[in-house]
Amino acid sequence: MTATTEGACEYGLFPIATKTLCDGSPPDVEIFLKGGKGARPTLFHKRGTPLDQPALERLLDNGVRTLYVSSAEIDQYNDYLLAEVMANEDRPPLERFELLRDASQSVVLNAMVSGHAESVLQVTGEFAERLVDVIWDRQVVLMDLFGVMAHDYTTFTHASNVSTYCLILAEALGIRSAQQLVSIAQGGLLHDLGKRHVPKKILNKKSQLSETEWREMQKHPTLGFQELCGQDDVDLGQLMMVYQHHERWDGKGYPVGIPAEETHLWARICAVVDAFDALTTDRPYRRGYVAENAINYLDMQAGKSFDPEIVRCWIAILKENS
Amino acid sequence: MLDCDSQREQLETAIRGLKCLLSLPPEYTGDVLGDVQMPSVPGCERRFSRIYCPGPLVPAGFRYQPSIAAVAREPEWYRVYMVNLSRGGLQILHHEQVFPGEHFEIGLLDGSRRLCRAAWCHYLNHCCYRVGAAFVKESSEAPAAD
Repeated sequence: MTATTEGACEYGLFPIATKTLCDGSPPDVEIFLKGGKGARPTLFHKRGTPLDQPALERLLDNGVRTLYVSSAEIDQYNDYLLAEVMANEDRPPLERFELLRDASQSVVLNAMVSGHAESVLQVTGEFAERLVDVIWDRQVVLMDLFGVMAHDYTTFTHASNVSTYCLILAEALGIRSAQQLVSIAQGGLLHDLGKRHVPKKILNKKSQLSETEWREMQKHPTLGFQELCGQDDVDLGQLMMVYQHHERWDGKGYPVGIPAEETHLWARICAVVDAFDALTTDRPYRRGYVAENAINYLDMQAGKSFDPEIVRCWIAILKENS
Repeated sequence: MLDCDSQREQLETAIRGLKCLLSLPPEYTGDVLGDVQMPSVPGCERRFSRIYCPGPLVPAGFRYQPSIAAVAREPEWYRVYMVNLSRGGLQILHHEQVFPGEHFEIGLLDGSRRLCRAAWCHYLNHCCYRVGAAFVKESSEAPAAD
């Protein structure tokens, strides 16, 4: 979460993507605007009145990507999102994908940062279903899709990118069941859930981690697994995506150190795209790799860190769509 | 708790008769525990000092308890081997991966049974995993001898 978002949370407000309000009738909720750090939120849109579209456009032009609704009204906003925004088949699939990503960002991020496992599963499940809707059957041309993937690294964009990539790769590897694809997309969103229990100073550290910090960081697959394993509606593949995505093909990964044949296929898929996204997104301490360099790295690590067949498939997808 | 040697022998025979799919790595075969330098294990947060028993590995009965809905387990007794033991938990060698938070029952040679919750698991070979677990409560019934 950004500092501004955290500040807004103090007022019982919930961040929403500004873009989701463009076009169509506004949600039946009050919408707030928050200024800089320390500023109090101000009412931007009063319930039951027409939305001021020119003002909204100006906000977007000025880079205001987040507005806020009261936590008490978040359900009404979510209903609006599903009914007015995501279900609108008149929108081109790629635009729906972008909106889905932007719209879900605050909802999923908020659940992942502070929600209980049950609410995390619910919101990520909804996101995954809609992601499969817009990507499956090639509604979205992959070349276009790769062009709009987010390259600013945040908890959500990474989870969302990994989820999208897992879905594409799983399908290319021959997984056709819609139910399984939804599960995989959701597993991709959840794969780093355990990081919310890792101290922020470690997650955000710009220099190399000390041995102790590295050990803390390495706990995240186990912590995520432990958080989700008690839930009835999580399946084995998803649990393994969370628990095994840092296992390596050569058995030198963590937390168990199991080699390739013992690692769940979905976790091996997740490992490849997790690394790809981590390499290609910008971090505070370095620019993201260009795709070609990331491909070279994956190719070099095929058979060491990663399943070589999965790497070959992913590289083929990337090359076809570059 | 059993109080005579013959009962202990009977129990040991029963435990040794349990199904065991373990393939022990060379460092764990023979009289090993007194000599093996135990590496520190990431994730191990044992509060109490552990006791290593020099000599052959000590067998124990092992049975999964239903705990993670997504992980299907047969409620069958297996023979596992103890690596060490402390007041708060134990380490065992088992033939398959045990997931953190999974519950299992362990039947010890003194006839006691303890319910355990796995904390971590490390791969040693495809039929041998080292598992660290904490005791969660006591039970008294001896493992089945069938």
